Amino acid sequence: MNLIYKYMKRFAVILLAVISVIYGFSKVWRSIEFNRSKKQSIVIYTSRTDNLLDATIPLFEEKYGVQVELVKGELGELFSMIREGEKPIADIIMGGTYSYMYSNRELFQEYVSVNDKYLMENYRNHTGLMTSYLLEGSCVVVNKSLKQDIIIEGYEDLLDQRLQGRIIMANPINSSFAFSQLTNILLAMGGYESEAAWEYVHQLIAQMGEIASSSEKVYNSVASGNYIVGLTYESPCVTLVGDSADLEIIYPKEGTVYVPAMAAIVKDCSNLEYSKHFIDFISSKDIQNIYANLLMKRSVYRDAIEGEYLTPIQDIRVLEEDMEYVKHNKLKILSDYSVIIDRIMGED
Amino acid sequence: MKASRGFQDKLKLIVIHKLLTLVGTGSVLFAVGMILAVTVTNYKNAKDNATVYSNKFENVYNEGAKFLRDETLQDLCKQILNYEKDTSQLPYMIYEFNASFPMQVKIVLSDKERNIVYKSYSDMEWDFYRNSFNKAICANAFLVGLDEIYSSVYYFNGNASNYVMSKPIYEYGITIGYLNLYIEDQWEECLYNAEYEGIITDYRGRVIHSSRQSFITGINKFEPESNQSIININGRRYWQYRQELEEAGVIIYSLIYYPRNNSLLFAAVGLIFLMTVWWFVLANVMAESMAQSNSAAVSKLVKEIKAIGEENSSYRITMATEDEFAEIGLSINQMLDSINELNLKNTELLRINNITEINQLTAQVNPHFLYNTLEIIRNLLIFDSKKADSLIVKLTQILRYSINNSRKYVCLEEDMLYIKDYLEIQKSRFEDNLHFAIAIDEPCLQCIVPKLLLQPLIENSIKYGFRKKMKIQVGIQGKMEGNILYLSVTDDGVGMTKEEAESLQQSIYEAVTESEHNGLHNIARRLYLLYGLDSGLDIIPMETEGLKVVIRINLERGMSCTK
Repeated sequence: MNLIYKYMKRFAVILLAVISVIYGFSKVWRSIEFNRSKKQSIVIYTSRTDNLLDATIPLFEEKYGVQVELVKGELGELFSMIREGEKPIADIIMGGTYSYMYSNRELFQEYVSVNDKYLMENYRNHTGLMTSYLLEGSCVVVNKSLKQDIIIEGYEDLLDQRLQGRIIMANPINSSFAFSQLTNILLAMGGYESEAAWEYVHQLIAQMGEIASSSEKVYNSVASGNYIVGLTYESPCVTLVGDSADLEIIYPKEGTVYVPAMAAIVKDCSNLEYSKHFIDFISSKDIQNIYANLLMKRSVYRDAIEGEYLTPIQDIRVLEEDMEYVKHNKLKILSDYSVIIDRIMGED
Repeated sequence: MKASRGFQDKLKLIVIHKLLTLVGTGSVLFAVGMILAVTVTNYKNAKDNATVYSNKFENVYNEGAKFLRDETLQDLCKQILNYEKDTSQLPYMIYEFNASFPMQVKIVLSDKERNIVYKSYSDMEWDFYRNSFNKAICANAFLVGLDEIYSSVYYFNGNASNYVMSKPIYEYGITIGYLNLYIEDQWEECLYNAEYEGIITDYRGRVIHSSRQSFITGINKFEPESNQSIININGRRYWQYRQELEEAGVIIYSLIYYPRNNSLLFAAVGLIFLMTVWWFVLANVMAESMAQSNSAAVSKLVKEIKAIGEENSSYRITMATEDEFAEIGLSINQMLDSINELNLKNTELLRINNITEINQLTAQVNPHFLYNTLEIIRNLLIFDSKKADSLIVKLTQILRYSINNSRKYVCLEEDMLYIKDYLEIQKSRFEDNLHFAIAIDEPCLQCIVPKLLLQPLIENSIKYGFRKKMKIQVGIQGKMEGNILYLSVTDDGVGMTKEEAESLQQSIYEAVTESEHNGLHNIARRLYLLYGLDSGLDIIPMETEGLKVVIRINLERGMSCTK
């Protein structure tokens, strides 16, 4: 045994020597550094999943000679990452709608874009914290082939018996777009606290075939023909229509609410200079034109050139969301919604 | 058998130790060899692949740069920007260039305000994004040196990216516009001879071309998590080789798919393990059998030696192993032989010494001699009391010399004094019938010889001489020849025939003899045992009557008297 032990020791020493030689060799090998230019970099946390980032980030990088590191995730998750100071430390948060952003306002650094004065009056930076970069409007998307002769012009039409189980929407609890859709419905059907409006919500949910976990699933399911109607938001649907999908976008005759999508600089960020550049950049005329014209999104810029597939805003009955009310009553609205869900589940 | 078991174990341990070291180094070398082989192959493949990519890219870049720096084109652009010419000639130049260029290119000419003056894109293709991007490129190109080219990567929304080369147009050192070359991603066709995956990015990690869409992360980015040779992309392992093209501002990543092949790894480790176990077992068996065969010889040897010790000393070892052990046996046998011989010699010497001593003592107290001498003294006391007195002194000296038993060796000179006294006494007895002559060379006198060496010879001469003759002569000679001392006693007595002398000569060297010439025999054996083979006794019959006895002593091993 003694011999084996002694032998093992010797073997281990030889092995160690060989390994260290190889390791050292590879270290030398790897130490040949590339003079990859060490540019400035900023970290952007975003909940966006669409092509908006494609049109924003490479151009920003080229224009400012800066590297962008994207961290994608659900908004709630991103906020908790910021709170916990997870790495990489966020410089910018770019994502959800007003009410979501506002409830986390203590995380933001004050900054007003140099382009703020060129934005539409309603969507300027009134808090000094958050900059609107586009408007997200709710809409109803319909599969043209499947709807046949069902007339869908507004929310009221969705209660048609033939649509029972053929409607899909996302869950307002995890999707900011779905929450906007809910407040849009309430506002259009009588008001946030109107009994009639909530009764309509109840009936509508009873019509639902599925409450999806993400907005993406909603419009894709309609486009692929799994559902006839989807309750979702405007820009991806416009893009799908532009890509000649078999879809039709309905702006309900009861009214459509546009809420701004916002970005903000995170407090104690590591690169404030470039963060400010970024906020200026997304509110600039150039990028707003790209969003409106190329990405078919509703610009916040006063005289942006909109894309051809966007229904002119003049042709849509636009409702003004009571942002103050919504941001203060978000939890109440969601809990009322949950009660309806529980009731419907109970009925089943 | 305990001793040989220990030897066997030790031998086995040594063999196992050596074999295990061999197995260990063998396994390590095998493993290292395998790793090296894989490493070198991957490295070479990756490097070759990178060379294919870089050659192609450099070619494209150089062609593009040559086009942008072309003076005719530059002059034309200057004229266009100065409103001296319209853009109608530009498309022609672009078509011409496109014809020789491996990839589709588009040209955008901007003025110093970065507004488009000419573009080979259609209006449909030219959107707000491209416009903004082109402006950004121009802004960056503004910052480069006079003859330098700014390069960038254009990418939008899932479409293939363009490598953009931008050359500012100067007039009197002032930038008056920008000529941008958009090279579309048709690398796939150009790189048909690349055998492995490859990615071309700029220094910011923006992908210009990727052989696989899945390598691209984020928004058209490829930034491997580390500089190490082995990287993971989407859970797949690749061997990475990077090459940088500084002028073009790009990095080429050559990637060799290098899956962590667990079954191969297990097989290799298993193989090494099995080999080690097999070698270990083999080593054990070999060690056992080697130790056994070797220790068998040792055991035999030990047994044989024990037999000698326990049984008898004349027993001799017999080894049939035909190896070093057999030789050891033989050597031991020889050693035993010489020990035995030495032993016999010593025993005999002891015996002869004893006999000599007894004889000498006997000679001195020889009753006949004493009686005869005393008789002479008695007669002389009556007739010549003076001579009687001298004879008594001589007899006393003889008695003292011979009785003094403390010294066995003496100087020849001293012994000769005794011989002279002895002869004087004998002469007084035989008077004129006995003649003696002593002729000893001076150097001989200092030699050390056994005490009473010559006395028995002289006694013999007198004893045998007077048996047949009335008158005898005795001669004593001594001489040195080199290291050899010759002492001879000659008489003219009866002598002996040649044959008798020869047989006597032979018999005196035999170990044991019963002949009447006991005295001669004892002297001869004593000389031989004391001084070796070349010392001894020669019996030489004289041509006339008489006998000569020569004592031969090789003094090489002897001593000489120091005064």
